[in-house]
Amino acid sequence: MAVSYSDLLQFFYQCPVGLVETDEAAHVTLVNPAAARLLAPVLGNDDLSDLLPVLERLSPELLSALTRERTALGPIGAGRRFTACTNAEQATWVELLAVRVEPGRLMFVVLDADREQELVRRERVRALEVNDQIVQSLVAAETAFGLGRPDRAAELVSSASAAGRRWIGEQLAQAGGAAAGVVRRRDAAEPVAEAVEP
Amino acid sequence: MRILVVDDSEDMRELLSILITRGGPGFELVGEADNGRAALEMVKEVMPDVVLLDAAMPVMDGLEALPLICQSAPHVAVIMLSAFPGESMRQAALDAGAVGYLEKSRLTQTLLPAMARLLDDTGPFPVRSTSG
Amino acid sequence: MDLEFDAPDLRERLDALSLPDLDAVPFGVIAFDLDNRVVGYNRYESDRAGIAPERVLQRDLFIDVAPCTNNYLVAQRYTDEPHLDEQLDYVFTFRMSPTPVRLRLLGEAGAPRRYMAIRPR
Repeated sequence: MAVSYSDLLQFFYQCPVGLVETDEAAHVTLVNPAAARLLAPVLGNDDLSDLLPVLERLSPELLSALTRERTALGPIGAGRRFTACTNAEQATWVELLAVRVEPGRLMFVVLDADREQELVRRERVRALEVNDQIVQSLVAAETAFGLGRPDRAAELVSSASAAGRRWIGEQLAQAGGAAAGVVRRRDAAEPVAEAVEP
Repeated sequence: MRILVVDDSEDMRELLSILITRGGPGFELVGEADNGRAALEMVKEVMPDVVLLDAAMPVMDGLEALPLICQSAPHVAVIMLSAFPGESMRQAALDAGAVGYLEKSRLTQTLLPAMARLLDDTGPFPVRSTSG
Repeated sequence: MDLEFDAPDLRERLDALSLPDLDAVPFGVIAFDLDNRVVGYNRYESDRAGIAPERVLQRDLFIDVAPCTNNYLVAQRYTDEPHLDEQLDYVFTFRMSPTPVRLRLLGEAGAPRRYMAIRPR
């Protein structure tokens, strides 16, 4: 099926994902409504004719990747999604990807990341709540030991253990069944590596 | 010394009451509450000398309830209890009017001595230096 | 027509006009109902955007007509604020080019018509 240029522009216009085309100096040549909608909170007095001040504010990391890879064609930063907060008060987030389509022509993809960030936040809160539940029981167990009540302490330790096991069960179920390989034993002091988008 | 225990964990309230009883006749448990808002009401009702106030609770947490308790009953000495270590929380509790901040994991060693110092009335905020 | 974008009583004066009379207003005006359906799209706005009124009337303003305003800065305010009269700088994307505009958002709880006034920056 032949697709005309106007069909492509129509797609570009209606695409729910933000798209911004710029030249090498980040002067905007095309921008769709989704990009204007998502970037509006960081524009201030800028008119979006120049993406440079927006990137400086939003994602210096992406900007330095662009500078570093000034001649590379294809995805910038190995296609990494750069997450940026557009308004801390409203908790609005975007993800940015950049692709050098051809020399002197860049395409920026702007994704609405509110939902993903909200899910991450909820996961963290849930993990904290479970951790708190475990700690409360263990602290009560310590107190019971200190008071010379080992039976009571043992009950409380069991309760902490049950809360921990329930949490691990939930997590394994979400990871797709009893995927024991998902769990890696590590030293408590060892930091968990930050997840990096492929 | 009349003591009000505020903690959302029933286990912890029970253990604190045992601990207080072991302090001897000078210490009397006069009430229990499971959140900050209920504690505010209880303070007015039972007029305790000391409130043992958990930091993290549902409905109204300890840090939110603390200044309200200090405001409505300035004579009451509040000791903040927390399961979490953290200098910033300790400082926030002391700044908000607590006379002491004790980590729950060491309560069997620290609570009675702290309250004994309050009973001795050795200073305006005798427990304040206790970080354990 | 002697009606200014900054007029303090702009909403009342737009309310007093019939929908066809909006064409005489010397800046862009989009009138829409409580379901966000466009009920008035004046000549100034139509000429500037290059879009015939028939293409936008009865369409959802924030989904079909000006999707770039479907965020908390613009669309959400019509929902949240019972007495809305707010101006802000914004960027539209006419013909896929960034187009700086000044917006005035007007709405009153209980009133059937709400307005988005648009002036180029």
